[in-house]
Amino acid sequence: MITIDPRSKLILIFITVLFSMLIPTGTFTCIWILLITLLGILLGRVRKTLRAAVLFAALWIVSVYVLPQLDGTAHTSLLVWLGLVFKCYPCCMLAGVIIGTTQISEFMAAMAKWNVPREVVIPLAIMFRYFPALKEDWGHIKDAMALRGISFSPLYFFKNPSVVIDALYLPILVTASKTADELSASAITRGIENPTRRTSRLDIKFRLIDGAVVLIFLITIVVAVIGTSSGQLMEKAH
Amino acid sequence: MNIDFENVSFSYSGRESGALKDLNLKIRHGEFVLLVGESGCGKTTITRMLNGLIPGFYNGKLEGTISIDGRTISDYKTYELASMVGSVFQNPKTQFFNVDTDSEITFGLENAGTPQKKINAILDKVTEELDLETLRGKDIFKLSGGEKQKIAFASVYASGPDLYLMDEPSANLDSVGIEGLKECLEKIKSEGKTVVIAEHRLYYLTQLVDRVICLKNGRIEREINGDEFRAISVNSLNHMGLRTNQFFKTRVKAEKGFRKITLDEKISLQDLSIDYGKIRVLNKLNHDFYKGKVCCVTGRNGVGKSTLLRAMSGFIKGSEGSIEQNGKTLSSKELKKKAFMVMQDVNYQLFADSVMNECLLGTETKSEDFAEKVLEEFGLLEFRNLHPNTLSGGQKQRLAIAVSLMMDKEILLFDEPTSGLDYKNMRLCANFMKRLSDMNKIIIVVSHDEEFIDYCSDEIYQLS
Amino acid sequence: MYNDKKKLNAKDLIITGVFAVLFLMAVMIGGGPFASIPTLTFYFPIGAAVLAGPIFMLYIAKVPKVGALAIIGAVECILGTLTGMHWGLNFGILISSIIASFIAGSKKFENPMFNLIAYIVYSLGPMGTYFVFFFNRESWVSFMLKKGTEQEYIDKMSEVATPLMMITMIVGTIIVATLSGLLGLRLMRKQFIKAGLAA
Repeated sequence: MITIDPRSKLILIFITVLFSMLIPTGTFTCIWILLITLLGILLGRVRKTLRAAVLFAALWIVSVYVLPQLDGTAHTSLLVWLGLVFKCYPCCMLAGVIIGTTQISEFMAAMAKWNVPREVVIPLAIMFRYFPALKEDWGHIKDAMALRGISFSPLYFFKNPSVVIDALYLPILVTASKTADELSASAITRGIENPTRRTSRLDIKFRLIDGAVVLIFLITIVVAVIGTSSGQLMEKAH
Repeated sequence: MNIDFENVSFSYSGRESGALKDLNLKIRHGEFVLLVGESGCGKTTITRMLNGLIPGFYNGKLEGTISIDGRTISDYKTYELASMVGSVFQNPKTQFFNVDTDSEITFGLENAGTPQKKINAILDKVTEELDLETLRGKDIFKLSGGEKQKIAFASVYASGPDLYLMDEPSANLDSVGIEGLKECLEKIKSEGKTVVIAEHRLYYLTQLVDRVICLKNGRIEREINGDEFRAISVNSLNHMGLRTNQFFKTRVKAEKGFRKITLDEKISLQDLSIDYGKIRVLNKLNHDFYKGKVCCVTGRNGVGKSTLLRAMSGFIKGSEGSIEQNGKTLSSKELKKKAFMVMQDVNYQLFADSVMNECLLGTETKSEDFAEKVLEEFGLLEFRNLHPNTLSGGQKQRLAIAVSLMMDKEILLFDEPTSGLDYKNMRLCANFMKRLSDMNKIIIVVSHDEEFIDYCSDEIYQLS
Repeated sequence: MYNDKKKLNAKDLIITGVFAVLFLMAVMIGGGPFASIPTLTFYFPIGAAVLAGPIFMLYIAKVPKVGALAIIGAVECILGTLTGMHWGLNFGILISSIIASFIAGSKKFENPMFNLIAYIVYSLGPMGTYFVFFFNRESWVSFMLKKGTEQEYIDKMSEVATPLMMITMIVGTIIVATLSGLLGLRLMRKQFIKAGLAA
């Protein structure tokens, strides 16, 4: 298993975004997905990465074999939808790998090294912290609603629209505000406003492996660009 | 660290409670000071002045001077105070910034830009001194309340402050959690640190305190020194609106006289077992819950008390066995119709824009007149047009119980109804439990509040 | 330092993080069903605008600073980039958030009309992806059409992104955003301010 610096991971994302922008979906997309799969496995996140890869393969098979069988609007809409999916898939999958293998504190310290403003780093960190808490809170609220006989069914909504709307927004916003306040108090009293650059208990630095991984991705995108443009030139020549 | 409050007054913008009026207080280096008083007396406000949350975080009018070692507190920035003053708050769920324990412990050090080697050295030292080996490298969301508070404490401890501020740190903890907290406090006391702690639950602090400051309506009513406090009787404390200073375990009911119970209608657990995936949380439970009786369910954290409540309100189906009433098995759907639960965090359950509307919500059968009567009984009628969210913690709790009455259900379940309540509100809550059971409801309460259990339970059901 | 009217302090940033999650959830729950059904993909921004109105209104009441909404946009853009959303979506959101924050901020976030307009503008952000698609269909779908004829290819290309779809998307989003924003304003008056949430 390897570890790479969070900043390298960010660089990989940017390369992938560039890839999505420049390279039309095609064989190279599949190659890219393969690269990401390998990376995910090497970083230790095996099961979820493989699941994502299998899903991609399944969708690709659909596009190659099932899509041509359809026609009319079904064909068009599936075409568009698959187009969107394939455009987003590489980044999405890589993002899943990165989020699953990086700790919040690691991420924050790495961003500090790059002088990314805290106005962006703190909210991002909080988002990852709050997301599971939100799920928990929402579960309780749903239970509480069931206890009061409030439900989201269309029939109930029709009879009591404002009750459902209040129930949807009020408890969650109340608890979210409270959580935000308490989180802030706890963070402020532990010095989060300190303008000094933050450090980490982990070793945040670039190693040989970072360079190797980034290089592999860079080479691939360069090859893809050359391959695509020469392919286009050849088509035009015909 | 010597602290000096000179003619300090403060009032929060937008509310009256919690204000301080012309406070004069000196705290000496190394003293362990306990701040007590009813909800809203101003004890939390004092702690907030010492860690800079007032006036920075909480808006309001501040007069007078607060100084630490001769220097005015307002001269310090919050992050400068952070290295001198460590704060632990009452809600274990909202104090952690990270998702894993190791990062959380080093959070303060990382904020301060401490070099990496030093951070790790301190992390190891803290682990050893606070006995945290089993908690290292864990997902904080999966820890118990007591364990979360321990990590919160460790995070503060790691920065080595001279003054520790605690705001009701035991409010959401069970006895095991409180034991752990006590050990942490013993440690810092032995290191000569200054401690200022605002609390309702006093018994675990009795041996540690040097001075107890009793506040009322923002003023110091009385100061009791440590030895005097250790000697004072529980009755005197109750008279002052305070909880017991002695470790208390409620007596087994057989010794106490029962209230007269005549009905034998009951809900029975028959070999009830519940699994979460592969883990068996509750195993073959057998118990009868009778109408007209208040039954308190106790047991250590994680033993399945909340699971039991959820099963009895129809949210979880038993994996084996059943819940029966008068010989007939009750399905989840039927249980949902018969039961109502008041959750530990009442905020999840308040949906309306006024106290009166909250009572009327969800009940199809009860009128506004009935609601008025109920609100009056619970001392909430004067607030009928106020938004529930503006009520105090104790008042919200009472509102939730009032709602349970309005829902007209047979089975009423309560999950830790007295967390964070002061003595007066705890007694009120106990009285309401008794009143509800007098209406022939089945009352089941999960609680680790021994005083509360002692006051109102007819039966104790311990899960293990 | 904390009552500094313009700069965002730690409390503001943490509130921003919490609300950003709420915004995200509103978008995913509202827009998700649209995005995952092939025929309705284009109308994702419409679904996304349904739930977020009240959250938006409460947020700008809690953090009435011009930087705040812009940060929400920036954070959503970054998160979108990190999770592989198309750059059209991400920059669309960033730009629309910044514009929205200036609109609402021009009246110090106190004018309901301006706040409503700000929300509408904000909700138009996600359309970025579809604009990009509209102008560059080939790169996205050509590989799936290799087997047809020239004419079929051209026909298909015009079918996948008609001007009508774009107009429906824009108008639909504006209408839904208006409704959601109005709901948000109503909830502010009726519940949030009364509850003391907007302090």
